[in-house]
Amino acid sequence: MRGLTDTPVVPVVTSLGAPELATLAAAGYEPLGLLFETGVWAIVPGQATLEAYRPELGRRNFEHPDFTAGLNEIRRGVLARMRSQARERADCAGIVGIQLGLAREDDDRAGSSLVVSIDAIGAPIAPAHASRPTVRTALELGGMTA
Amino acid sequence: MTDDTTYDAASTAGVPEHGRERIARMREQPRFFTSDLTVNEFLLVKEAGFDPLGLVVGSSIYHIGFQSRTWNKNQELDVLTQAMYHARELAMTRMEEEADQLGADGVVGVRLEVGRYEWGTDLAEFIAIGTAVKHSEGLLHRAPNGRPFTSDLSGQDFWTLLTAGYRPLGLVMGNCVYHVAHQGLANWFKQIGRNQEMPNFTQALYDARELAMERMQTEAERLEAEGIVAVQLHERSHGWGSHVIEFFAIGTAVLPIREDHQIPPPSLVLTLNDPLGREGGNRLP
Repeated sequence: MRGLTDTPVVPVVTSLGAPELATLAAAGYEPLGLLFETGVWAIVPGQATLEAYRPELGRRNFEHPDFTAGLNEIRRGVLARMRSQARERADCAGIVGIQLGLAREDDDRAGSSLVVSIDAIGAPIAPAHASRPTVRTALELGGMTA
Repeated sequence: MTDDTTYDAASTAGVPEHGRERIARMREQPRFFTSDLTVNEFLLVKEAGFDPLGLVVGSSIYHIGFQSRTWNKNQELDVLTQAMYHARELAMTRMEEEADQLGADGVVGVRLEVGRYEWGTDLAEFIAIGTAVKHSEGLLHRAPNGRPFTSDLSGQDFWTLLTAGYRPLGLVMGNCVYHVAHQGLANWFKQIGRNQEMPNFTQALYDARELAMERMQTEAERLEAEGIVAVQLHERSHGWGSHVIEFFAIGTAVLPIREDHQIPPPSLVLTLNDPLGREGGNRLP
């Protein structure tokens, strides 16, 4: 994108708010963009689940083996992909403000008992290359316009 | 309450292939981190002398058993209490093991959540999620049991705690699932049209709350903590009906690291942040 000057202006899309951007800049970091990853997986209960639900064991407490492993894998897979995306920028120092969300998908075509999707959103940051002019902000309380 | 959750710092049992790859890559690239900390939290954790290493997650999907109850009797449902505690402990232990494999001294901003889904009426997912951190100058900050410390304090509270001369030892919790007795018909008739205390209900909630608090306190004493800060007491029914309630107490056990506990003089702050949402944007559903 080009603005009124010859210097190219690349807009950065980020989930960070204005106060956070100001804090980040003051600490010597800048946002690189917005990372979004999603994964939709079908989790199929296997032999371990059948074993756990044997009627002779009664209605006892136990950990569900296949759903635990399945949800673990999808959550970590999404985080790993997000990490790889961020690493494509060599100067990326890390990702802040990661939020993970989980939803069940209504899709019986997979033929399994559980289809879930996990979304992750985060803000990659990098050390600022150039020093920015300091902007002092002031809150004005009240004030009437004529 | 018995705790049969074994801790193995090198364990990758239950960690899927993606998880093992992610941990290995994070170890190879120690200068890159992932975190659910907000910008302010991230900067204050750095200011406190810690580097974030990565987002760590532990989870367990647990089948919660069944326990019969007497209609007109106040009683703890220990099968359900045990299930809710054990599943949380499994999730926490897995999160700590993941942090250990990253070489972390601790985990900050831990959130312990319970999700019930429509696909399993007796199932619940317990998730522990937080950011693993390591002291930048290599000072040992682990808990006395050798595990990375855990804390549900925000980055701001973590910085304030360290600045004031305390350090977190670990997240401590206690719970109690309690059946509150139903009232008999005769009692119900006696109380029609009158303001009066319901001693049966009062006593039941009192007992359950005290049991949860006492168990949390016992955990803190086992860690040799001086106190517990930021205690939260949650009360939830988890779909068991209105007369079965879980009281869950959670807080961060702390220990002094020096004699004086001077803090900077407090100043008045007018916040412009959104009071309804966490800083850093809206949380995904």
